[in-house]
Amino acid sequence: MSKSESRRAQNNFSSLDHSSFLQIQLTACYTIAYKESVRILRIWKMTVMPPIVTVYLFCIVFGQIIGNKIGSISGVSYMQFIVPGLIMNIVINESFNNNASTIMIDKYNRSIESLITAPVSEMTILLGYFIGCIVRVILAGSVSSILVFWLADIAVQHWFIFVYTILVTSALFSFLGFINGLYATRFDEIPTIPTFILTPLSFFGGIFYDISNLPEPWRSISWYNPIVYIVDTFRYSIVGISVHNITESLLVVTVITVLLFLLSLTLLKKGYGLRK
Amino acid sequence: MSTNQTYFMPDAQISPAPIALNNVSKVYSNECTAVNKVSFDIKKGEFTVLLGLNGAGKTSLISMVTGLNHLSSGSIKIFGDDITTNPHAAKRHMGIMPQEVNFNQFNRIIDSLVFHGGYYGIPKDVVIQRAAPLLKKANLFNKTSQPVSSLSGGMKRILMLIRALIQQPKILILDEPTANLDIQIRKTIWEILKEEHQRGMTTLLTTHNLEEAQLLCTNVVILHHGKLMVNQSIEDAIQSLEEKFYSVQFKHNITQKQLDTFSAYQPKKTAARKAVFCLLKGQDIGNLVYKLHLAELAIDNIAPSTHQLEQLLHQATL
Repeated sequence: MSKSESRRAQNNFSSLDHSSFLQIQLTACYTIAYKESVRILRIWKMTVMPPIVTVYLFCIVFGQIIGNKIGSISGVSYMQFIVPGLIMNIVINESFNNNASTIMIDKYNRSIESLITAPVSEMTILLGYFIGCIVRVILAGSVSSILVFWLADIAVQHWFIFVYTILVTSALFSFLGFINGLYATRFDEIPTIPTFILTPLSFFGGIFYDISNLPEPWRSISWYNPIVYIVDTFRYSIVGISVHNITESLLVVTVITVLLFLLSLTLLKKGYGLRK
Repeated sequence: MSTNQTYFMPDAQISPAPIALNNVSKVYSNECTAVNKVSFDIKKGEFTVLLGLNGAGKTSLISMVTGLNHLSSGSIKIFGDDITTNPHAAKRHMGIMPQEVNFNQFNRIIDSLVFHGGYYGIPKDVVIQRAAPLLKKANLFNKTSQPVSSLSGGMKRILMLIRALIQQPKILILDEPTANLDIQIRKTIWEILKEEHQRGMTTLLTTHNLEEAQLLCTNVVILHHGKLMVNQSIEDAIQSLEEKFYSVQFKHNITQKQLDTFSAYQPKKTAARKAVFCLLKGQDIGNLVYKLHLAELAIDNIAPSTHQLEQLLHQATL
């Protein structure tokens, strides 16, 4: 028997053919996303309501009460200036928290073992959890957006940039949350990154002020903060103003997302935090 | 070359062993060697029990077979697919029931099964269809909308077994499936396992319950300090023992006085109609049966005593 025939004979008995593999991965990806959606909806008071309430309060206090005294920034009202950043803050926090907490919970109750021992690829796992994040972002973000867009009297101007920025930002922070979930061994390790990294970066990310008005060296330092690019691009897609080149901003965010995706994939393949 | 030419294919190529371990080792980061160059095959339809004292390396070995832990060296093949280099193909053959309950307790019972089936590419309606008879057997069919947390510990274990069977695996891997369970739930689990074995399921079981091992299994593998000590059929393993114990159930009540006439077999009365006989190497069970018949002690049932596995384990781990 020739080598190729022998290989084919062996494959007939043992290997998983491409269509079966793809079918398993598609169903598994859908299942992970569905499982996440069920979880998010089951605890909607914890997953969906808080960001809606928070963004509404920010709009009232900063946008209307304080904003009326500040006046306009770059030709738009203060309320219109902060709304895109507030929406993006929801995308960042919800994506991060969703993956960080769900991975930690699945590790804690060991239900993640049934996923690891199943024929699911690491790529499928990451994609499934990312779609779960998107569901949470859509649920919390869409209700908030409708409310604050109406309050601020604004509408989306550049739909492609709007949707792309949401997707890429959600992906970036879902992968970061995934890594945090893998790394965490206790529940109290979950809030470490949001408290000490995400919140400061968000507050210094140009949500509430114009980065171009910052004095040096703070202005230059700000350009090392990825949230600056995210907020700037998202603000451009809604109110049409930006400090930085949009293409460059999108490129920066996309490159960081790809790097975090590769890091998550590597950690998952190595079984970091999951396998002994 | 003629087109209808037939080729010789070695057995291993035609039908690879369901589980084949070759020089498998596991050394943890603290340099503890949990499994040390273990090699054995489990053939199709075999029901193998993996025995060993606590810390022998059973769970480490099972974790590597299922892909939960990486191997330090060696290889594990599942129907010819390497668990390290071709994990997706290897994993799809296995149904796993781990030692600890690993459900998300807040999920509904049916969701737990549907999610698990989804990981194996099985659509929801097929999962529900497959689960129905098993859920009925376990009296869980009317509780599928309840959260897993509402179930007792024993029922959670049964649900884990049902979950392991949802993808209709060719290999079932069970890590102490009946530990700390009452006899009723144990019997339900045994019944399901026996049925699966009769259908041709290849099974690897770890347990400390030797009665369970003797009742269900055809083969025994014993690990001690991570090393393979015994790998043979239970029958052969028992044959190799210096002393063999048989439990004899009589049709009528017996007295110790009646048994004393068989002192060469060191009989011990264990119940009104039950006694255990010890056969030394060279003593034949047929001979004992014949002698009991001559003494007009009608036998209802005769079976190797669980003492034999205990003795085998003791002998292998000395």
